[in-house]
Amino acid sequence: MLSAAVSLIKTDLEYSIDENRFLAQFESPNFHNVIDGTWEDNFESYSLDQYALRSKVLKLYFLLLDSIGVNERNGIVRGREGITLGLNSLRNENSQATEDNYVIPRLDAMMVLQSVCNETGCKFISLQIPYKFDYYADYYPALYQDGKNINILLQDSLTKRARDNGIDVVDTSNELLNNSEYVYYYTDHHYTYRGAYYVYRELLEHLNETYQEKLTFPEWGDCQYHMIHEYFVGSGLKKFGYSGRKTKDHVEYVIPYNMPSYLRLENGAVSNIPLINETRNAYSMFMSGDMANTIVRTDRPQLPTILYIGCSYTNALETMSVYSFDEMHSLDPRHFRGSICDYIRNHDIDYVVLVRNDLYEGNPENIASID
Amino acid sequence: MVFSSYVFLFIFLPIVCGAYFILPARARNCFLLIASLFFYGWNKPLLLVVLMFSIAVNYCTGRLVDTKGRFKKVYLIAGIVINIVVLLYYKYSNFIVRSISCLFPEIATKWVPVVLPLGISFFTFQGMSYTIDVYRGDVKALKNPLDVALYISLFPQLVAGPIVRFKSIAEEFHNRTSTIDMIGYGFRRFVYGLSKKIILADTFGEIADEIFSSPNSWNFGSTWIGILAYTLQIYYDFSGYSDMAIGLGSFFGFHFGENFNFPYISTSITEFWHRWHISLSTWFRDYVYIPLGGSRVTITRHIFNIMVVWLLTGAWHGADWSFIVWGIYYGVLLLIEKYIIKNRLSIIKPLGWMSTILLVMIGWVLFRADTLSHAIEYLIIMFSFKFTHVGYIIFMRRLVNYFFFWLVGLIGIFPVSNMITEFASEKGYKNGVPYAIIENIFVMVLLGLSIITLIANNYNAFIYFQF
Repeated sequence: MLSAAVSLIKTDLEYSIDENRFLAQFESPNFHNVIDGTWEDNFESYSLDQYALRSKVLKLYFLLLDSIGVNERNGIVRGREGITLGLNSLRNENSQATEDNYVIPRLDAMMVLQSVCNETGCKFISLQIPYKFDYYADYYPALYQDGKNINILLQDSLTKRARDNGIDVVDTSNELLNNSEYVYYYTDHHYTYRGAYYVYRELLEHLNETYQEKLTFPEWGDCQYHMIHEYFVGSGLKKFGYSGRKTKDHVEYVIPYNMPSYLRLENGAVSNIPLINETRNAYSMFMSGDMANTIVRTDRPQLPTILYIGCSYTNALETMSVYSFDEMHSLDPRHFRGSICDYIRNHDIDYVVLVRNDLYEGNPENIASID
Repeated sequence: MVFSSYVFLFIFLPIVCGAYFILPARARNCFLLIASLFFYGWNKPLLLVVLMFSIAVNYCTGRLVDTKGRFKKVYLIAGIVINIVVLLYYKYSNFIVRSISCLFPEIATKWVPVVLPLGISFFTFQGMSYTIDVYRGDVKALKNPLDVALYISLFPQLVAGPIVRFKSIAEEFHNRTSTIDMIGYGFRRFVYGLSKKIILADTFGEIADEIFSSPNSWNFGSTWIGILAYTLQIYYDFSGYSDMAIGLGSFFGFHFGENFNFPYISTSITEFWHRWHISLSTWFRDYVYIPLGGSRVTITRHIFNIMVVWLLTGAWHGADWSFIVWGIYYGVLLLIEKYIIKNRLSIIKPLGWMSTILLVMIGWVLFRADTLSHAIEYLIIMFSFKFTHVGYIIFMRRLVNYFFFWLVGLIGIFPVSNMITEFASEKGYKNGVPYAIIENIFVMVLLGLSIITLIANNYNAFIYFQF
């Protein structure tokens, strides 16, 4: 009861970093919301969200669940070495329907972008990056594996069908899946900056070979190395429920020594936030996280312009691209409300890179119109 | 408001308990009434009107039948009819409209669904039992309407029972004390119930909900794990609430009767219904079955009586055809036991136990499934004995991941606590200080775990991700 009293008088928290959501706030009662019961429901949510010892209670709760062997919760399973892996990624049955459901919406998106690129004279590239759960496929607990991983088969099918339709696909599966370095986080669903670095290098090699560019990015060892966020807690672990035990994850990145000066625009407004902002939480450290539209200009017209279209997997690529390209544009279809094709038409883009393409499966409402 | 909510545990209950013991004895009933009405009106204040109407009807009926006049039976019937009409309207009108919508679709399109008042089945039956007991002369009618209001609306048992007969608490109504032992017992009983509900029932509920809500993924393994989870969920949920109600009643000086007596150890369906929701089954026995003649009639009449009681029992539980079928199912089983099997199975206790558990679980499929057709589909798959790899995987994942809960849940259906208490009594430990200390530590640990789980159940990580 004492803790409840403290909860009522302490300052309310607005946001939970661990849950990535806004916490319920006190709602003033009035005749209508009391009579229809919404005020009472809100008060219960508010009381639970603002409980004084909430974060400690949560950690204790997850520790207790860990101790009694609850290894699957909230759609996440904890595999070997504490690696968090998604359950909705497990596809146990392969069929033509499964393959069509996977390939067709993605291929459709690529074809539209290819068409508008042909119209404007820029190059369209589909950048395939393997899923984290493919990289750690062997780390799922035995009960969650049925001996076959069809995701790779689905991606291969998509790559083949895209290439059959004349789409330029850079498939980084070989580069990442066989890479024994720290290229995917243990507790987050993203690849690490190091993983992004290998993907970026492969993209540059492809552009240089295929389109006779001379794009460069220094070797990892030739850049300024930074490591922050020791014991980083990734989103997978947050969803699973973080008990406070230290993780093996950390955030590292490199910055070339001779980075060009740049002007950065976030959603049209000039931003002075550094490209990699160590003061932000790890999730939005790179390029301020998921922005609808980011433009970085370096005033080097002899270099090409690149546009990335994709989710958070573009963030690390964008920071590296500032070194190699004159202008770096990015669109996150989850937040961008305009037409992506019109954006391509209205900006002088040399390369349009679709980074992964899972946004176009089964969730069209939140995705910006391509057309 | 529900017992397993933050507002109840951290705000309402401490304030009510504190104020109750500070107030003089003559003010306590009035205070409990105000607290009970506040408790009921917390989420839907307007539905207090329904509760108060029920109180008014039963108070007036009680006063009118507590006479020697020749119309007392008429008053009783009128009171019962009004109670049933109110119950029918709030609980069954949506169901009736749905059922006739294929014949009269225009009614369905114009019908505004009625909101179901929480606990209406409980307080309606409780009110009717009061008026019937007054009519029978088992109790005197309460002259003060506030007393009737308190009896019907007393918050410990208002929304989920047990259905308390007034005659069982009549003497305590105006003359009760809460001794330290009663308070201690009440606290322990409340905590046992709270932990059953929050820790066990809610966990098994997640498993059951996940499986029952995805018919496309039903297979042999998942259907069995789903119904096993539901079997445990409903027991721990319902018996947990009863424990909390009994514990709270004890706190305030009331002795409520037991509502569950380890029903899953029954070796016959008859025995099961002597152990499950005892207050409801005895209500139907005393107010429907016996007035119809009970078993002291011809076989045909007896069959009729059983089927009427079980039809009503099924309907009481829910407004859907699956509940009515569920009730009829038990009526038929009881008749088979009475006239064909005649308790032969229960002679070999393990066989009787296994068959009873299996029959009860089949019944729970009817009870839990969203529709009757879903229930039939579920049962067909359950007994298909088609072993698939995917089904095996789902079964094992649910088993392994929740192993601790399964272990505690399956042990808890047996009277282990009673065995421990009896052992301690025989050895002379029960009255010793160490036993009390251990028991109290255990209770505090359970309370802590329950509160931790309650707070943590609000955890809702929203993460953009696709794997």
